[in-house]
Amino acid sequence: MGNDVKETFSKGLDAWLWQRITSLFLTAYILPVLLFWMLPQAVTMDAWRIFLFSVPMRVLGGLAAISLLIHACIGIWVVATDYIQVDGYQQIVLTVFYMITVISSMVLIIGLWSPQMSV
Amino acid sequence: MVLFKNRHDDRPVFLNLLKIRLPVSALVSILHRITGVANILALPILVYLLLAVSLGSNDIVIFKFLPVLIVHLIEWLIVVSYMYHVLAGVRHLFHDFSGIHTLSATRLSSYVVLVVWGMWMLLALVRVRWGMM
Repeated sequence: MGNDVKETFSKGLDAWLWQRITSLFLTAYILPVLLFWMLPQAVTMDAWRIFLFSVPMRVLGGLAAISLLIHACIGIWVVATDYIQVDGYQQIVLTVFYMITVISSMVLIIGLWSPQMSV
Repeated sequence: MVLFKNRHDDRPVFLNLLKIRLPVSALVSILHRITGVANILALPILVYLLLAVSLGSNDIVIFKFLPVLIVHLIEWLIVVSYMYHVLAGVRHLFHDFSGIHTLSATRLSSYVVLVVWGMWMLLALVRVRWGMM
């Protein structure tokens, strides 16, 4: 019992810490993208390509994609287990959101880093 | 409704959403959760856009089938949702790592998040509808 409590607690603490570490990488990517979106020149596909596929943004994007995987999975777990109390529904919702997250992160990394995709 | 029925069925339930008055920090918290879920749901659209950009296609095919107003609304919602989640997240980090947890400080930071977000919503609306900034 003591071990159970300790294990559960340290898992919760791990999740808490991971959520915060990954949030830094996500902010480092999302904030520049949001601010770029505000600029008057951000209306053409060319402008977006030059910006998103510049080396710094590709590096930040790769880190953000990995962080997204961790951050979104922990986040949706916390929310779903709070609000959906019936196990079957909880599993379905979690599976759907995990799949969206995993596929999106993977495609994001491939899109940013596979040689054919780059400019 | 079975989906949200609690395992502890004998407890009293008060769920009139129109009558529950949230403290401002609770409002900031629930919006953080809602935008978090919304951000995941927006991921397929964003990844699609990134691929379209990388392939250099000048037409975003899926948007041609939707009225401009709907496209603008979706664009605005995504930008607003992501910005909110970042702002509320920074607030979390601030309180977690500064060790400041007083009621007055958390209320103040809640209002700061909402005000900054409000300004971002207005700027984003101008950006989306009139393409300038």
